[in-house]
Formats: sequence, structure tokens, C-alpha cells
Amino acid sequence: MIQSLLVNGTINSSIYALIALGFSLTFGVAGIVNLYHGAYYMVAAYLAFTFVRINIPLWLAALLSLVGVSFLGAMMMKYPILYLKKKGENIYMLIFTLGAAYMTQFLFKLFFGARMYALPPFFNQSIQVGSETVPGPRVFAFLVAVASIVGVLLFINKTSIGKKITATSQDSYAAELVGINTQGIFIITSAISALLAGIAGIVISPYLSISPTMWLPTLIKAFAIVIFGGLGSITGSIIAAFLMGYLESFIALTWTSSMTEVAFLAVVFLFLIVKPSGILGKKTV
Amino acid sequence: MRALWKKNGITVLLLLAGVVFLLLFPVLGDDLYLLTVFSIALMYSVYAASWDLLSGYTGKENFGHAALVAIGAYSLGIISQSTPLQPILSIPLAGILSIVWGILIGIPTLRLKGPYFALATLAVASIMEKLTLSFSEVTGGEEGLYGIPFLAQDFVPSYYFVLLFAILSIGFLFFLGRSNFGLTLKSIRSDEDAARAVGISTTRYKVTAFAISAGFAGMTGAISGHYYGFVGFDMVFPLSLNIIILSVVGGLGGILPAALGAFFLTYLTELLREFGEFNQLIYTGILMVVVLVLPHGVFNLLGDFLRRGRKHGVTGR
Amino acid sequence: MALLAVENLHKQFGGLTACDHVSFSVERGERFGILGPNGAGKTTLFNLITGFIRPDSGSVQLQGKPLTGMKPEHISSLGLVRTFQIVKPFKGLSVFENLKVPTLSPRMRKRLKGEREREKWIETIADLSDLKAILQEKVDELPHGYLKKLEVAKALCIQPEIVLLDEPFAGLTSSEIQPISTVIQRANEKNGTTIVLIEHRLKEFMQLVHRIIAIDYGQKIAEGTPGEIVKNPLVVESYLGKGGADLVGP
Repeated sequence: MIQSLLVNGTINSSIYALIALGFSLTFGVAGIVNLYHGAYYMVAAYLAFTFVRINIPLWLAALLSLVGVSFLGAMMMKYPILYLKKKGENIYMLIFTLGAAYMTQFLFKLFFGARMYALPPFFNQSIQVGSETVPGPRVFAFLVAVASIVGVLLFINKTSIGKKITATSQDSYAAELVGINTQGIFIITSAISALLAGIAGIVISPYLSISPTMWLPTLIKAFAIVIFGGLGSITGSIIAAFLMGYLESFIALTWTSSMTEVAFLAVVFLFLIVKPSGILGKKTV
Repeated sequence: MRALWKKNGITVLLLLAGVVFLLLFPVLGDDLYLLTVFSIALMYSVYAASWDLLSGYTGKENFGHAALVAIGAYSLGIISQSTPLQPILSIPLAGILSIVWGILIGIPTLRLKGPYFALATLAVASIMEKLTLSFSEVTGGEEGLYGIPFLAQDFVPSYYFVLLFAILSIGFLFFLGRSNFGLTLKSIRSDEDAARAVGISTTRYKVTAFAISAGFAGMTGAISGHYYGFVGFDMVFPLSLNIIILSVVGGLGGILPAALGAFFLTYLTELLREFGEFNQLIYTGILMVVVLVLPHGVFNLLGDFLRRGRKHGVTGR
Repeated sequence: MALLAVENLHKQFGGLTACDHVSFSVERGERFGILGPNGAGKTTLFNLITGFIRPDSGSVQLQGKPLTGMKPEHISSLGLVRTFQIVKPFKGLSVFENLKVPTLSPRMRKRLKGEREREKWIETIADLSDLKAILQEKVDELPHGYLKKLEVAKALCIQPEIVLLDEPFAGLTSSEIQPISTVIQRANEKNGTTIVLIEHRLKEFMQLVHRIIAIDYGQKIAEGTPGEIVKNPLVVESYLGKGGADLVGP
């Protein structure tokens, strides 16, 4: 039992961390709560599926989809989101991004129908971990997730763009004053966020289903984790993702899996009331 | 009253004309379909008006209005499974229960700033949504609960019931919004610290607004249960986002613009129903365009235009 | 008994002592000034007194009644009101509506019965503050000078015993300051409202106040009449730096 919990918890947590990371990044750097974030996850999955359906090799399909979704992330920021940010009122940003996500759902329902799809697996060899036999796709998902997270962290800490991102997240006004093109940084950050969510979407699609509503539970989990870990704190998001991942496995095991979402939401709510800055977040409330 | 007339003469006339039309409609024609559409649109107008009182006036945007509707609707539904409840009992009951629920939710959440309040209310509504599905033996799950007494034996009296309720509710909310209470709420939206600095107990006002908003949402939820004779998942929970769309498109901060936005958009949705799947797409599309281009709201803009907005210069007029 | 008594008020933000055991008292009817360079802790002092920030230790008493721990809206309702350095008008509302909000506080609800009395009171304050001509204008389009007047008028609308004005002249030209200075004086001399004033515009400040305390780095460094303060070497140094007193001369 415990072995299963640990193994599944760890795999799920890594995916959650990937998704939450992007969400946290956009908030930390640009101060934007992007309710469209879950949609990037979904768009990448559908794009990959479509490419595979027209007989493009799996790896190429994945690559093209990631490029596509990153571009989408950049465009979403560049045009509507930054425009609304300038206008000031936060509520419209929330409404717009949420609306856009629903719209994407309706579009996909129209084109693809409500049927659920899947991607062919990238890697099919099961691995033995202790007494658990872990299916290949899940192992692959885990490895890719960890690699991506490490990759992003290295990118942020070691490259000059990464340093500009860090500077902008600390004080966008000051960053602007020292010559950083903050608008450009916001756009790049959004692209990276979308990319991370996209990677998650593609990597889980061999074993979880692709459907037009798949973005919403993902969004809920992402912001639950980010609120829990602290909006704006990358380390916080990662730690929270693992905590939530294990909590979810635990609840699925001891109660029912439908309660796991309630658990996530309850955590969000509790933290919002008691400690909105989360366990490690910026004190911007 | 006189001030209303002087500044907004044309608008008042148009509104009165609209009300008269709605009153006479069943007599003028025989279109049962439109009668139903209007009834539904009227209920949505009250939802929007109730949402606006809190979210438009205080600036605290409630992303989980469905939670409040659900209390009213489901209390009626659940009780009716053993003893069918008549409107005369269910509506006040729904009102009281939703007011209490509103206060309970409001007290911890209303002190949150900016998007956090929105997220908290979204969380509450989502939790209730999931629980409703989980405990389907009580709530009917996806299928819902049947056996709720109808408002009246026939469509026309039902329509008048809803119309009367809508006029009274929206009227009440409108004049409340124009009162000193409404002014205080607006000052809280504008600058909460400044309001506190001049002696206003802002938390008390916010919670009161939440409670009143909840009360009307719950009562309308009960009424819609009686109207359909049933209460269901799809009837209640999508409301959170829908009401935001309807109210934002109509315009916040005046009760009537939001109510009108809800009425006309609901009517539009019915017209578009023949387009099937496209309907939802168009709906959300409209929302997004309005948010980008006309965030002030269609009916707010219209109201300003009809008032021939006077330019205020400091040097006098 | 002093109207306002501040005793050993202390507040630290991490390593920074914003308010260092400050004590002073203000008598009823006085015009009392607080002087000090930027960052000295004057606004923090106001925030501590009016409940926007909690002090670490010390007490604030209004006519003997302790205020520590009370919420800003309750303190205001007791008659101690403050204005903000960066004006906080209620945007989207008219001047009249801005002045009406304070009259809806518990304090004023007790004193004003009915809409008519409320309107008369607002007109009186508007008259006193030179805002009568623009009562119906929306504040969003008003120039800064009028907004500063409105800021003071809003505070006066709650009929305070004592009002704390945070740089009411900031950002104004000399000719714009005069009307506001007059409003403050009128409120004090006609209605007996006690005034506590933070200001940087020294000429107008010195003419307006009876007594002053000087603050630097969160500490009270001097107390006295305008004449005494101006000659105090510590005060001069807080503005001009070490040796500044020598520059100014005896």
C-alpha cells in the first residue's frame, strides 16, 4: 500500500509541480493570475494528437505541439493579457482568461467531439520499483517532468535572460529602470509557463485521457498548489506540489478519488482565509 | 425620485415601456415559447441584480454565486422529497438559509484583497459542486431532484409570478443601491481605507451586502425550482460564470444595467439555441469582446449616452 | 487632561525602528505641528495613532480613553480623524457624495437626524472648505488643489474633536496653500477643532502652529514653540546634516 502511495504520489507530484511552476512563474514575474493556464495543458495534448493523426512521427508531433503552445502563451500575454493589465482592473483579467479557457473548451468540443482520446506511448517498458510495477508511460512522464523542472530552474539561474526574469519578478519597475524590457520578459515568461504546462499535457496523454474539459481540474490543482505554496514562490510551488500529490494519493486510497478535488479546493480555501501568502509566498496580500 | 426623472427621463420611459410590455405580453400573444424564455430571462435578471449589489458596488467580485443559489434551490429540492414545499414557505426559507450561508462564507472571505476573494468564492462553489455530485443519494447528483410543486397550474400565472418577483426584487435592489447604503458600498469599492478613516465599519457593510445578495440569489433559486418542478446540477452550478458574464456585459454598479444585460443576453442565448454547440462559443466570445472593448458594460454605456453625459468642468457649467 | 496623549509609542519593522518611544501630548484647541525630514517616521506615527498599524508598545489616549488595539473606523468614530498624504478621494463619486460618506458613520448618524440635516451639514463644511461651487462635480476630474481641500473637508465632515493632517500642502503652489491654510485655521478657531499637522512647507507651517515637536529617525528630538524649534541645533542638523547648525548661525 505505502509503496503504491509513494510511487504514484511521486509521479503525480512531479507533474503537478510542472504545471504549478508555470502558473506560479506568470504570477511571480508579471503579477498575473492566468486562469487560462490549464488550457495550455489541453491545447498541447490536442495538438499532439492531431499531428499524430495525420501521421507525423510521435516525437516530432510533440515538438511541434510544444512550439505551438509556447507561441500561444506568448501571444496570449502579448495581446489581450498585457492590454488588460494596463487597463488596471484585475477582475477583467480573471474573467477574460477564464472565459478564454471555456471558449477553448467549446471550440475543441466542436472540432473533436466529446470523445476522449489518447496519445501513443513514448516509452512502453514497465519498470520495477520495489514491489510496484510502474508502466512505461508513467516512468517517462516522471523523468520528463523532473528534467523539465531542473531545466527551467537552471535556465532561470544561469542564463542572462533568466536573471532578467528574476529581476523583473522582484521589482518590475526597477527592472525597467535598469533597461530590462519588462514587456518582453513577461512574454517570454508566459511562453515558458505555457511550455511547461504543454509538456505536462503531452507527457500524460498516453495514460490519461484527452478531453475538452481536461483543463479545469488541472487549473484548480495548479492554483491550489500555488496558493498553498505561496503565489510567487517557485520553491514553495514545488514543495506544495509534492505535498498535495501525496495527499491526493492518500485520499484516493483511503476515501474516494472524487474527494481528492474537494481536498485540493478545501486546502485552497483554508489557506486563502488563514494564510493567503501560503507557506513560502510573497506577502502581497 | 424627481432627480431620477430629471436626469434620466428617457431611460425611465424606456424601462417603463419595457415593464408594460412584459405585463401585457401574455395578453397580446399566444407564444408559450417566448413566455418561457422571458420567465427564464427574468430569473437570470434577478441573479445578476443580486450579484451586482455585492460585486459591482463593493468591488468584491464573487466567483461562486452559484453556491448561494444552490442553498435555495437544493433546500427546496431536498425537503420536497419527503414533504413537497409550497412557494409561500420555500421562498422565505430559501431566503433565510442563503442569508445565513452568505454571512458564513462572507465573514472569512471578505477581508481578502483583490483576486484572492474571487478565488476563495470560486473554491467554495467548486467544493459545493463536487459534494453535490458525491452525495447524489441526497442531492440527486447529475440528474437532480423532482417532485417540486409548480408555481401555478399554468404557464401564464407562473410567468406573472416570476415577473412580479423580478420587479419587486430588482426594484428593491435598485433603490437600495441608490440609497446611502449603496453610496457607502461604492465608497468601499473606491477606497476602503479612506472609508475606514471616516468612520465606516467596512466589514459590516460588506458582509451585509453579501447577505442581501445571497438572500435574493437563494430565493430565486427556489423559484426556479418551482418553475421547472425540478432542481438539478446543470441548472445551478454553471451559474457562477454565466452570471458574471451577463452582469459584466450589462454593466456593473447600477443594478439595472446588470439586470438588463442578463435579460437580453439570456433572450439572445435562446435565439441562438438553434445553432447548437455554437451557442456557447458565441456567448463566451461576446463576453471576451466586451471585456476587452467595453468593460464599462453595454447598458452602462447606453445609460450614459441617453443621459447625454454632461461634461463637468471645474469652472462651472 | 490633554486631549491626545501619546506615551512611549514604539514600532519596529524588522531592524528598522520607525517610532522610537515617542511621547507627546496635544491640548484641546491647539494647533500642534510635527516636523521632521523625509523618512523620519511622521506618517508612521499617524498610522500608529489612528489604528492603521499596531504599535509594539506604548499607548495612545484620547481624553483619557485608551485607543490602542482599536480599529481605524472606531477611532474615527470617537472623534480622532486623519487625512492622507497622498489624497484618497472616493473616485467615481461627486464632491457632495464624498462629503456624505463621513456623515454616514455611526458618529454622525447620532448627530444628524434625517437627510435634510445631513445636506445642511455638508453644505456648511463645503462652505468652510471653499468647495461649495463644485459640489456636484465628479472628483475624478478635479485638479490637485481641490482634492487637497476635499481631503481636509472629508475629515471635517465627521465633526472630529481632533484631526491629524498629513502634509495637506504637499504638491501645491503657495497661492494654492493659502486657501487650505485658511480652512484649517477656520476649523480650529471657529469650531474649536484641535489640529495636528505634519508639513514640510516651513513658512506656512510655522505661521499656522502654536507648538511643535521635531522627529528624526523615529525619535523625538525637540519640542517647543516655532521660534524655539527654528533655533534648535538638533532640528537644523536633522535637515542639513552634521554641522548644519553652524551653517545657519546663532
